[in-house]
Amino acid sequence: MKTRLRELRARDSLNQTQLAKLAKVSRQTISLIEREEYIPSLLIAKRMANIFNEPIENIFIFDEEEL
Amino acid sequence: MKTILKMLLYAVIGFAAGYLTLELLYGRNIGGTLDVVYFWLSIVMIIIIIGLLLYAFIRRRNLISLTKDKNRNMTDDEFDAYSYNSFNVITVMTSVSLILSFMSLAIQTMAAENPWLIVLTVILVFISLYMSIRASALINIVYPDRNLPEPGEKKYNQKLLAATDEGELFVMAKALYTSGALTSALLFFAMILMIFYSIITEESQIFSIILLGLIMIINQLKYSYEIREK
Repeated sequence: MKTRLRELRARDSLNQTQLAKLAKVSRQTISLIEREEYIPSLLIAKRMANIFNEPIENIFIFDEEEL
Repeated sequence: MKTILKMLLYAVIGFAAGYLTLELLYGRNIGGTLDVVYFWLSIVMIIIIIGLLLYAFIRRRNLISLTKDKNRNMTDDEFDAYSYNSFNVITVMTSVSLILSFMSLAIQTMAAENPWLIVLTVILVFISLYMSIRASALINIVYPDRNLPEPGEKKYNQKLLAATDEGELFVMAKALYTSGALTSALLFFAMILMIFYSIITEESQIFSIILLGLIMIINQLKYSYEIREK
């Protein structure tokens, strides 16, 4: 899974700590997701989608083989 | 720091192994030799404990002063990573010093029997215990916005686990899995080592071997119980 989280954060001028507060998670979780070491739950993915005003599939991009 | 500690550890192990081998080869009084080895081992432990506690104390003070400093030369993300790693290091340092101080106390009371060193190790046990409790309380200073339990609260561990988010749980699960596998392997290795130790020194370690075996069995049963399909 690829993620555009870092790019979207830069677009909205948010650092990891600020995004973590908005998404009600720890900064470590944001860092893990950005490093593509962890696939977030649907709940966190939805919160991210709301924060960036983007559909989930525009933030978290799966390969065809993964689906 | 890491390299120096590693070198110190290798030097102590190398010295102990070489000394023991020589004593065994030349067939001298192994019991007396072991007492000397244990005495110096506990001295080395005391030095390491004091070093660890001092380092933990300084790191803790730095962390607290940085937490209060609003003009710190760090971004929010850098500070969060720094405080998380500092908390981790302080917890490890105080836990290791607590374990080492118990080991040193055991050696002093059973093998070395030097009253001054017994008093010193008892003091170190209490300081390590105090620092360990204070280290747990650091989490509330590092994360004041999070609803985390205070050390000493009822069901502290469950509350702390409940306050942990899914990313943190993922990291913890991975770390616990690898450290659990390492612990099982090390306990098994320790059992084998104790059998050889009993044979060479003629000091029975049967009680410890049985104890280690029971710990391994309970550990395995607990893991199987927790992961079973409910």
